[in-house]
Amino acid sequence: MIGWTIALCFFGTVYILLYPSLPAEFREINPQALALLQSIGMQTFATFEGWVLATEFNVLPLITSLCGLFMGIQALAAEEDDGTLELLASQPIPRAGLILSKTAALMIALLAAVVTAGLAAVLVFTSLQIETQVTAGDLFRVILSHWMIGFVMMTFSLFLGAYLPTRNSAMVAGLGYLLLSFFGENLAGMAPVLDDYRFLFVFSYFKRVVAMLTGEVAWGDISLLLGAGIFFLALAVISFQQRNLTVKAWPWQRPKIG
Amino acid sequence: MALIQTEDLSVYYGRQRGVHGLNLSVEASEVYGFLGPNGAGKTTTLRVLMDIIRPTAGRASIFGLDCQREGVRIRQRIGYLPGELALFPNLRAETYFQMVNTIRGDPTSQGRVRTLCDRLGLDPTRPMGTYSHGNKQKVGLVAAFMGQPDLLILDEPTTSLDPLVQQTVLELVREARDDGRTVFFSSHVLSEVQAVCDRVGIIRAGQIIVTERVKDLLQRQFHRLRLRFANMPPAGAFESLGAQELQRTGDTLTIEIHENLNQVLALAVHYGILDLEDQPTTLEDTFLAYYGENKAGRHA
Repeated sequence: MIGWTIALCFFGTVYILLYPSLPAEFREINPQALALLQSIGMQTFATFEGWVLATEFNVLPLITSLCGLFMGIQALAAEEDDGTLELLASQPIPRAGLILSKTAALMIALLAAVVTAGLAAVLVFTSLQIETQVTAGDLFRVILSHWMIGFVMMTFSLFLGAYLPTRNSAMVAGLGYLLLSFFGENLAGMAPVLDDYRFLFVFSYFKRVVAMLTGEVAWGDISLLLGAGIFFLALAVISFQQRNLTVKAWPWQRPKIG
Repeated sequence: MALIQTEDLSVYYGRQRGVHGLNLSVEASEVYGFLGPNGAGKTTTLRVLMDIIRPTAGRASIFGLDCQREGVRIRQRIGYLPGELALFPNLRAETYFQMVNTIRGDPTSQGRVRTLCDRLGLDPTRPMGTYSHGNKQKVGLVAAFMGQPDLLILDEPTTSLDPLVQQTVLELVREARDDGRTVFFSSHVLSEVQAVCDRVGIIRAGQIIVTERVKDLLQRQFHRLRLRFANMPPAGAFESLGAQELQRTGDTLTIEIHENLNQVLALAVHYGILDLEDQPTTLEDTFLAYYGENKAGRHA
């Protein structure tokens, strides 16, 4: 968790630090002329907000969602593979209580990481005294909103861990979706054929959430992301309640429980 | 009413059998040994009792409560040692014990933890990832015994332990029984079953083939003798004394005897015995010698 927090702090501050040192010519380039850059969200480098939206807030969601994914896999699928889940399951705790208490701990840890990254970014931002319409509060709020995408990927990976037989299968499925979603959303601007599938990509919704740095708060997308997180958590609890632990069986190999 | 009861319990993993139609009954305040070869279904049975695995058919109950529906209430009164014990490598043992105490709501067991660690020779201040197999097993044993539970379910409790510590574990089992608690443990070691168990059940291919009182079994234990002669006795020479010839190779004869040991030895001397070896027989050998694999389902 410390490593993930450091990564979030690094990517949360490095782009802010780079901004003042950009050559004036580079800052004056208007990538709107470049359809390719525009299609992946790089609207302009001429302003600080354009710069961070094109760089930092393209990378930070990926890091946060990877963090959520790995935390969720580690909490359930990895513990089952390692055998330590049997120790916990043999204690007088209901299975739902076990998974919910793990989720609560992960949510707090993820929040702590994101808050730390947000504070680091604000510290760098204020110390550089960058001329922009964005305030430190705006920056902090947007970085804090990354918790949501981490939460969705965390509960998604908890569900995968509860449903699939091994850590590796859950990791492949989770990472596969994450990368598909990330590159799918970024490439959708270039390849119109992907437009129809954007609703499947979690990054599509989050991109609109991040846009609150310069625009309105996307309450609809925020609700949808939180709803998806809760939905996957419910699926994880149900799957965990029903399955045999310590038995690495695919769903179709599992017995019908009498 | 039995403390542990299974009725036609079956667990299948796809087409693979875990246990099939298992009927088990363990009485209160007894030490019940659960014997069987690897893959017979011992660990599966124990995991069903702990509600880690759910039955495909049949039911299991402990304290009269259904293991699946009322698992939390049951586990509150159980100390469990898993067969494949895995510990949190970065956690210190003492922290793990505190965590278990907190979950169980039993802050009074800290004193017992210290006593158990001393008796088993465990330093609980180290991260558990640094422990040898034996020390990890000790952590599992302390966690199982520290709450003084009504029922102890122990899967191969003496695995990886040195002989002195094995004796301490058997003492702990005896003390638990003397306190009126029940112990259900799986093992494949004859000597420890003989030392502590009141009753023993043999599981084979997912079914209990027989349950017997250990003292009854011990009276029936037999000898398997390997005798080397200067002059090989004629075939069937020992049959009149009730011995069964198992093998005859060169100057060596292997026989199984259930009675008349003195007369068999006297006859062996008569034929000029050069060497004698009493081959160890397992409790399972004793079971099978009396009941055979086809006489399943006998219970005492």
